Amino acid sequence: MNFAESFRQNFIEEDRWRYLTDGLKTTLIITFFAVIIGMVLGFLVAIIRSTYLRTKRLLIPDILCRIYLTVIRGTPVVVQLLIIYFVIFASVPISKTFVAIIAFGINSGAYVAEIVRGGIMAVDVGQLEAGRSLGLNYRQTMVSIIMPQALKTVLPALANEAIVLLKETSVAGYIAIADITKGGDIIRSQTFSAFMPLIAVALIYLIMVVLLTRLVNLLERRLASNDKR
Amino acid sequence: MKKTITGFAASLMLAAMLSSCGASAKPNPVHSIDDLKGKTIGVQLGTTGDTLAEDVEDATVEKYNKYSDAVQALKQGKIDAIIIDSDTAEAFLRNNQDITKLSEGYADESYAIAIKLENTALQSEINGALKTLSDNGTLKQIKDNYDSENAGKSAYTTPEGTDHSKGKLVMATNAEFPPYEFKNGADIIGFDIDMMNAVCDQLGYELQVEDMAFDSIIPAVQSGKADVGVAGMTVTPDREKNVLFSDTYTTTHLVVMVRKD
Amino acid sequence: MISVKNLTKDFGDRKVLKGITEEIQKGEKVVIIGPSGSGKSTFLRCLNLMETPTSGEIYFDGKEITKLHDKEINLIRRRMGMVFQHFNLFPHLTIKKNITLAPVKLGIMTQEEADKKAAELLKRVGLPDKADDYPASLSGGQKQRIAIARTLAMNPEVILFDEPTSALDPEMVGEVLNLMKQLADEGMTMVVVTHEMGFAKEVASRVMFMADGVVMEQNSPDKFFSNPESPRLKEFLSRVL
Repeated sequence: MNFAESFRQNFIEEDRWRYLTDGLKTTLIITFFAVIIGMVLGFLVAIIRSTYLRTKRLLIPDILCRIYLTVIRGTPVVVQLLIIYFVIFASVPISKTFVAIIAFGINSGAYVAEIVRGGIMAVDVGQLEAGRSLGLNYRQTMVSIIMPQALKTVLPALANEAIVLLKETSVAGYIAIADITKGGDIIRSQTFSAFMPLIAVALIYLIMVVLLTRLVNLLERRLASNDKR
Repeated sequence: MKKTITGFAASLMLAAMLSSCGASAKPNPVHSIDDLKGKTIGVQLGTTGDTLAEDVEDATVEKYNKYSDAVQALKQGKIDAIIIDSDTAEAFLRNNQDITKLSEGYADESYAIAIKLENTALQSEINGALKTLSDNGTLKQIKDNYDSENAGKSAYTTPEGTDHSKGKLVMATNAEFPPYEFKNGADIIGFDIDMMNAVCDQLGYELQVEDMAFDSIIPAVQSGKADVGVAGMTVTPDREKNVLFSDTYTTTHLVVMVRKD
Repeated sequence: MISVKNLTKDFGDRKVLKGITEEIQKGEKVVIIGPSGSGKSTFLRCLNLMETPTSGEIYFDGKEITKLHDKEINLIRRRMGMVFQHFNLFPHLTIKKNITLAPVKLGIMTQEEADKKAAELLKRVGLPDKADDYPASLSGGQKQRIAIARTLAMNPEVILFDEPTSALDPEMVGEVLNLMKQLADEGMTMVVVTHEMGFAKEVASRVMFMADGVVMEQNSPDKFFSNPESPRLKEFLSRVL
């Protein structure tokens, strides 16, 4: 079978390209919402952890956060996904995409938390003292002084985490979600050719990652120019 | 902040408790093949069950990597039915009291061994061996050994002094298909394995089993990674475009598995 | 104005302050000197509760502040400015924003009032054209002058200076000390931890010598420097003068 024929069989016949476009849509939806959940959760955990480290307050929440970080970072995301699907939401009628969003969001949150905590702790403790010495309370100091500085340093790392998450969602197929990887698998199972569907899936991921990386670099450069002022 | 975290932990625990005390799955909505219309059907990706489910009107087809995951999802009410080979269904039904199969099934299908397209020499060798095994009753003996009533009574063993001088024959399979091929501890056993052992003993090969995803088996045979693909594989026109098939070694049919009422 | 009774502070096993009782009156300019590790910075940082004392009491305007809740401590801190060794300007904000952030956030001034105040203060510290620059573009001396302006924006009743010139290149020390002198002349109550003996001689109303976590000796500047009593102070002065 020549290239054109193989291409036609894998993508054109029976509209098989739709497995890829529909899969891409699912992958993007899962990634997008998981990134949002991950960021919210990550910032929350990071703030609790750094508050405990800096002020020794919030001990109980800090312990909970540490358990969360240990469990999530100590187990593979596929296992977490299966646990959330088959154990936690065992008999709950719930959309699988939602399950995947929750699973990847919770997973990403742990990594975001450590990135953001690193950023917060990297802000000189003198900044906190300066804010407090002016009569600002801890929260006001965090919001107006510490977080803006921390955010600037961690933004590139956060963007990279989002890129990693995009690729990690490729295991969503384990709970029979037709994401882009599964889309390729479905074509493969129908045409029995490995080359076309796998290369197509790889290319789509690659293009998305390259585009996102470009964006991140642009962002980084803008932030760097901000520093020179 | 404290509240959010405890709230989150509490809801997780609540969900875990809900599941562990087994809040019962929704009642079975499928009582005939016609009922499948518009339902959610679970299959293993790339199986004939998958192909068939795709043709059911308005149905949502959930393509799992393994039938056992689909069975889990069926029991939990995440899907309404599973389309699956009858023998494999029997194996699952034996271990799961809360599911059953519909009495009406689909038409008979033939299982055969997949061989690389150009390799007609191997095809005729295997066909010859299958004929011998069928004629001398070995095939029936092997099948009986995996039958629920006579299971384990007539295991196939390689006759002493068998010649394996022709070297290895690599068989690609997907060990998620009881009773055809499944894992028993570290070993992969089943009807297909015993049958291929018998074929190899006839032909003077030494069998080597390679486990992989079901939808990787045909590509593995095409690319020469495996000499044969044996995995309860039904002969379909689509597959015949990509591989040669041996003569049929057994027939089976697809059935619909559902939750018990 | 500030009175301290039996103040102690431990960091783990290390006793940094071993019982200090002191009184600081309105309008006083107290300069604290002493070898490093003597506890002088810790003492200063206890006054506005940047460090929580281990035991003892601190009164501000007759009110005990050591047992207050966070909210009330924040109110006290508005009235006690602090200037740090490393300036601690907010690098992500313009100079003007550095100065106006606290008064606006705390609802003491509107942004316009604060902007006006910032312009006045910038003129006063001699940097009227830096309002829209970022801290990174300033020299060390300029940064410390901005830090002082930031503190002044809160209209504090007393300013605590924690080694304000120690991180500066020698040629920039003068401009900061001049500004502090100017504040002193205007009647600001000041507590200054420093190694600048010239400043102590010229500006202080009282000089305090701290060593080993206690106030060993204190006096008016002329007597303090011309007639030191304890051998520790004599030895210290002989090394720094």
